[in-house]
Order: sequence, then structure tokens, then C-alpha cells
Amino acid sequence: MNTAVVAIKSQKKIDFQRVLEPYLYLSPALIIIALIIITPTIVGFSYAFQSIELLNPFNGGWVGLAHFKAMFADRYFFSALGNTLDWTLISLFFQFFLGLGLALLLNRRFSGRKLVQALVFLPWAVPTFLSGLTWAWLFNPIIGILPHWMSSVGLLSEPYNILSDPQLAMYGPIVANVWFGIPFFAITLLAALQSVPSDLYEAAAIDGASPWQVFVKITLPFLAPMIAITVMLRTIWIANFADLIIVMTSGGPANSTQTLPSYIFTTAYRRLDFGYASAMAVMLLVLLLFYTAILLKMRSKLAKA
Amino acid sequence: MASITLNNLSKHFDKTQVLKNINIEMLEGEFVVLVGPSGCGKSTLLRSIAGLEQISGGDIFIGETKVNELAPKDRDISMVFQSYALYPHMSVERNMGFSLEVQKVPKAQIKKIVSEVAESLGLSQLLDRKPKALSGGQRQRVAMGRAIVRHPKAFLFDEPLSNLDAQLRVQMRLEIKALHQRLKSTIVYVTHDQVEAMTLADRIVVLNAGVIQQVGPPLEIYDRPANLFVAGFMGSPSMNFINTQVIMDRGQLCLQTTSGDKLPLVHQYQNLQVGMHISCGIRPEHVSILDSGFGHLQGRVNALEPTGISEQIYCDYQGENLCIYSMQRSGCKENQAIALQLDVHKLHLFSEQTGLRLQQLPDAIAEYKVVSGE
Amino acid sequence: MPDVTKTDYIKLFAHRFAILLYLIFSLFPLYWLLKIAVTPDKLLYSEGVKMWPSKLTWVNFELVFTQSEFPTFFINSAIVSSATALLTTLIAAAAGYAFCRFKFRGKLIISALLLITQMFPLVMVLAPIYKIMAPLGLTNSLLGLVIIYTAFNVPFAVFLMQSFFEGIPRDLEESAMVEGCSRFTALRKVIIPLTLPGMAATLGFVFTAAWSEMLFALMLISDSSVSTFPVGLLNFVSKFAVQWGQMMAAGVLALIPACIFFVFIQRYLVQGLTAGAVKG
Repeated sequence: MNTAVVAIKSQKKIDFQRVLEPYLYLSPALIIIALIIITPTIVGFSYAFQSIELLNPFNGGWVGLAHFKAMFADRYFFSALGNTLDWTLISLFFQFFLGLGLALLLNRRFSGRKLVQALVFLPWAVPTFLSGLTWAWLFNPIIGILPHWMSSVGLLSEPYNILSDPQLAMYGPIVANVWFGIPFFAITLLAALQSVPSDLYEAAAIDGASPWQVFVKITLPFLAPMIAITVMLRTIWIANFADLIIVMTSGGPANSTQTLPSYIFTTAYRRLDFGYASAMAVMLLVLLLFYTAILLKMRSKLAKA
Repeated sequence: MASITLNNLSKHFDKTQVLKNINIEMLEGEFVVLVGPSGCGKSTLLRSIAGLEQISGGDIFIGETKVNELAPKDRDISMVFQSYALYPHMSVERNMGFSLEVQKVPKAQIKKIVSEVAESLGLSQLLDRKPKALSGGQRQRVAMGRAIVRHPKAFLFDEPLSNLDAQLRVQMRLEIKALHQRLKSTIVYVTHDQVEAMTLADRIVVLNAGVIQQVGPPLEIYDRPANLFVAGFMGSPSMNFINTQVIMDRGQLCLQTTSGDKLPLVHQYQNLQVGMHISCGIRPEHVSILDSGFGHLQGRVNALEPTGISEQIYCDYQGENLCIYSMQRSGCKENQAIALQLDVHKLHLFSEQTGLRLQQLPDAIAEYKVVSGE
Repeated sequence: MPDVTKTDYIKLFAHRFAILLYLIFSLFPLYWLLKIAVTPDKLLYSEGVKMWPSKLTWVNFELVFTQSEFPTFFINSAIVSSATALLTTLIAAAAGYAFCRFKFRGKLIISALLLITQMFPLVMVLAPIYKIMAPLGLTNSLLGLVIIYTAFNVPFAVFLMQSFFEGIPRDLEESAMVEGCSRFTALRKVIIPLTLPGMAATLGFVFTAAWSEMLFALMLISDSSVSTFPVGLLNFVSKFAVQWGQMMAAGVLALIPACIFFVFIQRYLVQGLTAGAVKG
């Protein structure tokens, strides 16, 4: 009987270890994420309802929904919202289709493919601040060639910097973003293309399908789920991505390139108004969640149909 | 070497029971083969012995030691995996000596033991290679060598030959058998291939759905399968089954098939009663085709499978596909009507109700009487 | 090919031509960066928009190395990025291993949590992190940046490491455990040596990400002695807006480590991008 008790005890000890072991391996990751991401997020929520201006340290305390009321009266907020939409959709459109084109081109054997692949994917590795600066310089008529090209093909009346033209400035960061983002889509789509079983193509060839039919009837349906999830996640990522705008235009001229994230950053970084910045960040988060919810709902509806 | 005893072993994943009340005593030096269809729990049973799966109930003893709570490393057993599980970053030599290296055996001694084992397996030339540079058969041998090197209490083999091509499989089968005879080791061997089971085992354990169906020496299992499952599973081509009912015909017990043919019972069987529904099993090699006359049954040829050395003829009898295995070339054609003669001494009777075998009672005098139809 | 038709030639030509266009689009901005960096200042206004200057100079690079603070920025960035990469890879390897080899309560929730952190607007935590870090003395500090970068790179690196661990057959570990290893010894002797290439790739990904991070650095660093490269470069640009040659030479300098690591992680790009589909 005594030994039985010992056996049960040691069994319990083993079970305990077994249960605990994975958490042991996970704990450093969980602790740092809890401290550096989750805690500040919660704190950020509370800031949205407080007045926290570093330039105005005495003007503190809870202000309820004042920031949100101010937001609805802030025309820059609404123009930033519209700019975010333009920025996201136009960038995504070109990134995706040019990326798909590149993936299709690279999905064929040719000599030197490895090298070409490395070179066309290189922009992805260029630090974003450098991409932004490089493109800003390219748009500068003194040292950049783009304005001269654009005026010689008649896009511009004279070679000037489109980044200082409120009408056109947004296209500057968008071009840089497309340049930086094509490799992402090309790589993920290329991987997906290569995962299509080759016997499907062989069967289609035997059945006499044209290349276009093969693409529409075999390739696209095979890629569709992957495309859907990548585009969804990427949309959120681009919407949140402010680096290029901050580097190239800082939201100017006259707020014409200010997106919501860049506006939040400027509010926090230049005006040091943490309360208002946090309130807008909460708003941005709500909008993104709303977008995700709609997409997921649509997806489950499509899946049912 | 040590014996392995499983007492009332059970295991469930969440709510599905994968092993139910397993009781086996494997003797020291015995070669035990666990066989069954895929998903029957044979691999889980083996992995439970190794300690890679936790058991939900019962006890495992290796020798005198209860190992339920011991980690795999403390059970002193070797295992050969289906994938061989050779460490790709180590040479053959380090692979083979790995268990000794972990036990901190002096290097010189490891080298000596490994080279001896490598010699015996014909691996001496390959010691510096990485597993990637070996053929399938060589990898298999390294995996076995790695198991041998540490002189374990028992060897566990998990479908070790299933990744080899047919020819190599036959060769490795012979090598494993020779190895067992040389080392006199306790071996538990899992396979779904019943030829391997038949040829290698001292004793076979047939498992289905987590329950032991029968334990016994190979030929006993082949000759006296305990139930319909074992009868159908062991043997290739597998046993034929005919639905029959026990009748009394002119003073003799007979099995009458659904279509009215009669098979005389020449032996006595336990619990046999007139009127019972019996699934009558007959192995394909115990059915022959008559050149003339009616035989016991009349069938129509569905398909022929000549293999050169033999011929398998499939024919239709009351909607069932009966297989005939013949060493002679019958010259039959498809759709031809043929008369079939059954070796009535070799009938296997199973109760349709329970699926269990009706044991044959020892005969006073074997009464032999050919009844060539009506 | 025996009978190549005319349309085949046209197709072939179109394919190569399209690839050439992509190549030009990808490389032209970088080429331009390099070109301005080696153009003498005097020639900039007369030949700034020419495809190739009539004279080359290394003066800009010399100035950047000897007269500017860029070497400090470079070293700061290198320290922060390397430390982040090391720390992140260690933490992520442990967590990735847990995800790959164990079943445990809350697995789904934890992995969903990791995924959600990837979709968060970064700007949301900028202000609170500043407020939390300031009293701890972690603003204007490289250590502060390392901690933040590690936290934000861990989720993606966990997914990456998990995919590398999943590429290693479980049999190997089980075999080692039967052969006398505890789980930890099996990890050390068998699994880790086999995961080394994956860990190197993770290092590369995290290094590249940390090297290019800018928002937190701008927010938290004001002292130029602890500035990372982006902070230093952006300050330089806003202060000396016409020193084109030096700015571009500094830009080329910032590009070098990124390019080195890029070559290094090429093979793993697909895994890396699918693990951090949201990461960029």
C-alpha cells in the first residue's frame, strides 16, 4: 500500500512536469509580449479618454469622450481617413497585380532565373526609411530624374517636385510603396503557383486547354484561398504602414498625404498630444476590426453558398 | 534480455479508446509480432512499451521492473523506426554510437563496440558517411546496428521494412531473422504485412480495433484462426466464406448453403447444433476445380490471375466471390461454368452470431468420404 | 527545340522583355542612389539628372566616414539589430518548439493572440510605450529599443521557428529519447543542430526588420550619441538638406547590411513571408 502511494505521487509529479513544460518554453515570449505589447495597448485605450499633452503637463485628467468629439470636428481627421483609403487601395491594387505578373513571369524556367529573382526581390530588403528617401530624391528635380521624364512625356507641364503639389503628392509615397511591396506578393504568389500539382497542368494540356483557360480554370481556383487571406492581411498592414509617408512628405503639403497612422504619429511625435493620438488610434483599431469582421462574414457567406 | 509483460493495458485519446485490456506475456528471447490492419492500435501499443505514449490504465513490466512511470530513456530498450530516424547531421558511426555517447561511455570503447557491430552488419565501409549518402537497405541496417550497439533489454521494431522495395524486403526479413537467432533477443515487431508476421514470429498477436483477437504461433493462427476477423486477415489470398446452415441429411450433419448445396461435416465440432447459421471458411488452396462431375459447388469464372508459379481463379458462387488457388494451370476461361471440390477436412466453422470459431473436437477415427454432389 | 515557330519567338521575347522591365524598375532607384553618391558636388547641378556623371569621386564616402556621426549611428544600429536578432531568435525558438511539439491548454488562444499582435496599428502603442519607458530610463537608450524590437518581432519569429521545427521529423527526437536522452538532451543534441539553418534565417529576418525600424526610434531617441541609423539619417536630411552626395553615401552605407542579410535569407523568403504574411 505504501508503494502504491509513492507510485501515485511520482505519477502526479510526472503529469505536473508534462503539463508545465510547454509553458516553460513559452514563458519568455509571453512575458515580453504581455509587457511590451499588451500592457501599452491597454494603457493606450485609457489615454484615449484622458488629456495627456507633454507640452502641457498641467492640463491632465480624464476627459471622457472629448477627444472623440474633437475628432468629429477635425477636418484633418476626415481627410486623413479618405487618404488612408486611397493610399491603401491604390497601393494594394498595383502591388497585387504587378506582383502576380512577376510571379507568373518567374514561374517559368529560364537561365539566370535565380539571379533575376534575387535582384527583383531586393527592394523588399531595402530599409523602409531608405526606400522613402531614395524615392523622395528621385522625385526631386535637382537630383532626381523622374520629374524630367514626366515632363518630357507630357505628364507634367514642367519638371517640378510632385511631392510639393497637394494634388499629386500622394502618388509619391504610393509609387515607393508599390516598389517596396511587389516582391512580397510576387514571393507568396510564386510559392503558391509552385504548389499547384503539375499533373493538373498536364491533364489540362491533354484535354487541349488554352493557356488562358488553364490560368482561369486551374491556377486561379487553386490560388484563391491563399490570395484571399494574403490580401486581407496585407490590406491591414498597408493601412497601418506610415513610414514611407512620414519620410517622404511628413503628411504634407497641407495635409494632402496625411493618412490616419501618419496623422497619429505626427500628433504624438510632434505635438506630443498623447491623449488625442491615442483616441485616433482607438478609432483606427475599431475601423480595422470592422473591416476584418465584414470580410470574415463575407467569407463564411461565400463558403456557405 | 528481458521479458515484457502487459497487464490490462488500456489507452484512450480524449474519448476514443485505442487499446482495450491488452494482456500479453512476452518471454525472454521471444520474437513477438504485432499484426493488424492500419489503425488497429499496434503502433500505439509498441510506442506505449517504449514510453513514447502515456498509457491510461494497466501496467507494463520489462523484466521485473514496472516501467509505467519511467521515461523512455530509462527503460533500456531499443527501437527501430519505420523512417529509421537516423540523425542526418551525424555520420553512420556517430549514429550507431549515439546511445553510448549519451551514457558517457569512453570514446575508445564506443569505437570498438560500433566497429564490431558494423562488421557484423557489413557496414564497416560506410562508417564515415552521412545517412543521406546511404541506400534504403543500408539505412535500415544502420538503424538496426544502432539498436544492437547498446545491448538493450528488448528491441522494438515499428514497421521497419515498409519503406523498402519488395526484393530488399525479403532480404532484410531474412537478416532480421538471422539476427534474432544470433542475439537471442526479445523482439517486439509491428507490421501490417502478414507474410512478415508469419515468417518472423515465434508468436503472433493479431490486433483489431485495439483488442487482441488471437495470440499464438504463426501456423496455429493460420490453421486455427480464433474468429472471422483473424481468418479473413491472415493469409493471402484470404479465406473464402460461405453462408450456410447446419442440417441433418440422411443421418449426417451437413452445412447447407443458401442455394441448397451441401457440404458434409467430417469432424465433430463443439457447440454445433442443427439449424445454426454458420459462416463456413475454406482457404483458396483447399478448393480445387473438377474436370468432370458436379463437385460440391458450381461456380462461374469471374477473373483469372496467373502468376506463373500458380494461378488464382475468382468465381461467382451465390453472389460471393470465391477464390481458388491452384499450382496447376487450369486452362479455364472467363464466364466458364466450373465444378468446385472443397477439401472438407479443412473447413473452418464460425458462428455467424458471435463470429467465433467452433472448435473441432478430436476425432475418434477420421472418417473420410467423398461426396461428389447429389 | 526542333521546330520553333514565330509565335514562340515572340512569346520568348515578350517574356524576357517583361522581366527586363521589372529588373529596371527594381534596381533603378538603387542605381540612382549610388550614382549621386559618387557624383562630385560641383557637377550635381549641371549633371544631376544625367544617367552617368563625367567624373567620379569617393569624397562623399570619405566625408561620411570621417566628418560625420554616421559611423556612430551605424554601430548603434548594428548593436541594436544584432542584439534584437539574437534575443528574438532565442525566445522564438523556445516558443516555436513548444507550439510544434506539445499539446497544451490555451494553444489556440495563444497563437491567435500572436497573430492579432501582428495586425495591431503600431502607432497605437507609441505614446504609451514612451510614457512607460521614460521613467525607467529606457528612452534614449539602445537597451530600450532592443526590448521593444524584440517584443514586436517575437510573434512573427515564433511562427517562423515553428515552421522550421515542423520540418524535423518527430521520429528523430523520439529515437533519441529511447536511446537514453531526456527531452532536453534530445533537443540539444539532435533538434537544435538540425534547426541551425532555420535559426540563422530567423536571425536574418529579425536583423533586417530591426535595421529598418524607424517610428519607435524617432519617438524614443533624441540624443544623437544613441541614435540609430534611420534617426541619424533623417535628422541629417532635415538639417543639411542640400548635402545630397553625403546623404546618398550614407544611404548606400545603410543598404549594405540589409543586402548582406538579404542574400543570406534568400532561400527562406517564402517561409519567412508566409509566417509573417502581415509583417512586410
